[in-house]
Amino acid sequence: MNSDEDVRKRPRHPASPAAADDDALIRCIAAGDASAWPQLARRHLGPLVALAWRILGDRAEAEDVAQEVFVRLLVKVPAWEPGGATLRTWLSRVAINLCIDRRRAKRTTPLDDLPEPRDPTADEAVVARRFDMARKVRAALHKLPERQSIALALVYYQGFSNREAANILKVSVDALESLLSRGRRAMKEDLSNVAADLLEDW
Amino acid sequence: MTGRTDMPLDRFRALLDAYGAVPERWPEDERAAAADLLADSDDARTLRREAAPLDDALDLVEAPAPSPELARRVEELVYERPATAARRFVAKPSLTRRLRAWRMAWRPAFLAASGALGLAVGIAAAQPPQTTSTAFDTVELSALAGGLADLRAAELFEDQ
Repeated sequence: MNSDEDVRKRPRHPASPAAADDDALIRCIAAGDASAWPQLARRHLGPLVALAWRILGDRAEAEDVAQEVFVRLLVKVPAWEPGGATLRTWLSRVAINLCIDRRRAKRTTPLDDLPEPRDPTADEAVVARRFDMARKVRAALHKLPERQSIALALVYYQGFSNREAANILKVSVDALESLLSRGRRAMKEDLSNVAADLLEDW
Repeated sequence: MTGRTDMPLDRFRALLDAYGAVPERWPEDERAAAADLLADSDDARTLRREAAPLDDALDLVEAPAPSPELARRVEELVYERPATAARRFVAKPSLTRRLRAWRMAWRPAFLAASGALGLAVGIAAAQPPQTTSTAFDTVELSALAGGLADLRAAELFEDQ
């Protein structure tokens, strides 16, 4: 948990790629410089897969969505207008729409396995406990209503500001805060039933 | 409290409810006022401590990284013409849309076939009848019509 004194620290999420850089790369690609594309792709692919995975709960589907978003970007490149929506916002919005379509078409989305714990030196029992708790948290996230879960994904995991997230969801900042509050409340209730120890002070 | 903050405790509570206990997630334009309140108010510090465990729980869920195959496929997209890439990867249109397109494509053929059929029926009807109906035919057709009516009535009851 963060101490009370560190509240002015830099954001925990790496700073989002500057929109100006993205615009410059897109201009290069539109002018025929294919070497700018991998740079753009590497910058945004990870966050897009993560966002789609958090909404869909399935890695293969999340990768399909991410790939489709990049295809759409490629089609969009010649008509891209700098100074409009930032690329990151545009990509996220397209990904969310694709995820929503897939989620509604499937009705139920089984959760695939979580990624394996990354720290091989950690104590096995601790790793197993964290893994189990992570599964419970993820299941609780997945049970949230669609828009609450997307709002949490954007603000908590993708590092979007409140205005950016509200813009992506096409709601006011007040409405976004309401979605986030309701999502957190529901998570807390759900987790207090299945994993009360999670919500105790660590 | 020293009173140097202009953020009411209620707004701080709403901030925690929505954005959690991690200040980096708080709205940028309110972060300084929230930090002042936090420095000055025991109540604010208590509220933040109470909100923190849920943030820690949320932090447990780490998303997978993209597979190397996906990274390769996406990086190579640029070497295809956009239209080709789109045809290859963009999802197929829905079944309804494909049926509608199929129907539109075959519409002229259906119209031509309907016209030809109508013409054939018209010519056939203009010919003198080759046979006359017998009493047996009439009875048999009546029975068939009655049977169909009974069947339809039975279906209606089943529906209710």
